[in-house]
Amino acid sequence: MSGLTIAGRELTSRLLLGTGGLPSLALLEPVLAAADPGLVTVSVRRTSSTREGGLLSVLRRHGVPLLPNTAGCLTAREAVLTAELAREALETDWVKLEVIGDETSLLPDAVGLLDAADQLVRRGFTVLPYTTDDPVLARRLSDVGCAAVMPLGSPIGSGLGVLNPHAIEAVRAAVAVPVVLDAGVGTASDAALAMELGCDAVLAATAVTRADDPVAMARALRLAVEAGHAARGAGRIPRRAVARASSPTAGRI
Amino acid sequence: MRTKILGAGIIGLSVADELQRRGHAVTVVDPAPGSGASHAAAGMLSPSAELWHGEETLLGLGRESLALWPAFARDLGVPLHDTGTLLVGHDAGDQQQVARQVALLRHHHAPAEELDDGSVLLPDEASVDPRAVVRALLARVPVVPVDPGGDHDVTILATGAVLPPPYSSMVRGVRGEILRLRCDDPPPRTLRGWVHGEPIYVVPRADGEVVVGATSEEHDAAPVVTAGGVLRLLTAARLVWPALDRAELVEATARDRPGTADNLPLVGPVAPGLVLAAGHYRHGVLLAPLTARLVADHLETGVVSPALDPRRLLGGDR
Amino acid sequence: MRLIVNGAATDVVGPTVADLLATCLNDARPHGIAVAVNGEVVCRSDWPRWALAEADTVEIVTAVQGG
Repeated sequence: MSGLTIAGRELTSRLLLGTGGLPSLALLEPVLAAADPGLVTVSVRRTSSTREGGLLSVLRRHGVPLLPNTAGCLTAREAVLTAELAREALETDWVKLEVIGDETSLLPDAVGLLDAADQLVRRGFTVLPYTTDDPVLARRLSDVGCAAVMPLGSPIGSGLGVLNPHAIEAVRAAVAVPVVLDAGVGTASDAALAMELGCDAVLAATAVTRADDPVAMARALRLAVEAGHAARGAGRIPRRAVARASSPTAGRI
Repeated sequence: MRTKILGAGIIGLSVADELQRRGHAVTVVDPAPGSGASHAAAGMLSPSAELWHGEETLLGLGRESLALWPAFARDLGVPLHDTGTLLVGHDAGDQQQVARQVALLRHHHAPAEELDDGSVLLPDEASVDPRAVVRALLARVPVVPVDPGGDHDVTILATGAVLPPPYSSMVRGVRGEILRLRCDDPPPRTLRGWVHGEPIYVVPRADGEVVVGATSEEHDAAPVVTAGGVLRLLTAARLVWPALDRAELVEATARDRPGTADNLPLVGPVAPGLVLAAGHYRHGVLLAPLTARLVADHLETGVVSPALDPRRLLGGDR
Repeated sequence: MRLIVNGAATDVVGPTVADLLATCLNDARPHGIAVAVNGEVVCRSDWPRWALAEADTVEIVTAVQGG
């Protein structure tokens, strides 16, 4: 067990995985095995078939808890309807809330996000909002009852990692709920850094799905999240401007 | 052998043509021959440019089929445009993507020559006009609009993005939008690459037609051309080949690619007397002559390529 | 009656949501699916009883890879 609890549920891992962008569905199972994620996100889209043997049957067979997202929603109204549909379809009241303000940068619309979060919490959802690295907004989201906050490290799919470490530390300090770094992870060191900065978990999608070897990267991220979490708990040394010898000076020949 | 082939796209027609050539009786059934993905396809014969990690089997099949194309095209009287493919990247991220592709190709000993301007030439790729191929095949393969019934030794399912029950879930439609333009200053060879992360290709033909493609979306509504899809394609194409700004926009088309769970086609038996030739996803045109040969070989000798055996997808909890 | 199903005008016969699903998905009680009529989610347990009306807008959704 990971020791990470969100909304009273203990997650088995501090690595959360997005499923968008895999080159083929056949890769999903080995990626899940390598990542061993605590949650897996899915999107909600129109369908005209029952899609037997598809995504949901693979995920159900693996037994990982699902976190539907409201990706693509530009307004609170769209996000609330999408969350309601997801709850109905997947029988979970957990939702990764996304309200996007700009389709080039895919940055959140803070106003719509807060409004949707408030509405969904009132409707009994467990809301995990995808947000900016602004600690003030994070606190507002926590105050309306979100079960966690998910600040971005850098834009979705950019692979730029944690662009503003100080902001992530500020988010961590601003809220008591778990902080999940979400968006912009490019490789293992980004995930490890996020955990060292005090995040409770990391969500990665593109870093895994569009890596040359998604299975290997899934494993690497799992190890990185564990390593970063352990390092955080171990209490690192200060960063110094001058050297400080680690070997004794007395008794040299 | 008396064979019935359901579906007269490039796969069904190529299979029928090969079976006829080998002396078998064929009945091909399709109310609208060549109207599916074959009608939209750009016709790139691109095992290398399309290669991605984990798809080495597809590379091998693509190369094998590419080797069959010159004779196939000659026999059909259809020209082959074999000036290779140029890989291009627009922004820094796109150029990194080109570099990734080149590294992968070098790993597989596929020729890739870096040019002075940073673009990369893949010399042994080609293209063909799939509509011309379909027309040439229809000239010598009779097709009937309705299943005439009667006795057949084997039925071959080549119906593209939609397979009949109970095989419907083995193939899903992946919508693609594609444009045909006419340009008096076309690129000398196929251009492929990325523009702000979006994949794009520009395929010139000898007669001045230029094919620009393609979008790719997983959803199962009927394939229609969308304003957004056209906008994204034209925006990217103009950045890759600015002269397209003055090109005539002749046609916008949307069709579904037949996708499978592992991106490999389904070629082989699913039941006694029933063979699939389906699920060719992005490589229907490239793999047409090889598929025809594999199906004919299977009917005559029973051999099945394990990687393409449709029964590989019938395991598990289906 | 004519409805807008997933953005497209569609003619359907049966009056209930379950009938619509049986027509469109060949399954009156599919799993992993949710339905909204005119912007309101219709619970699974209500599908056999919920009567559709002319010009209703229906969304039928499922989970797909994403995020």
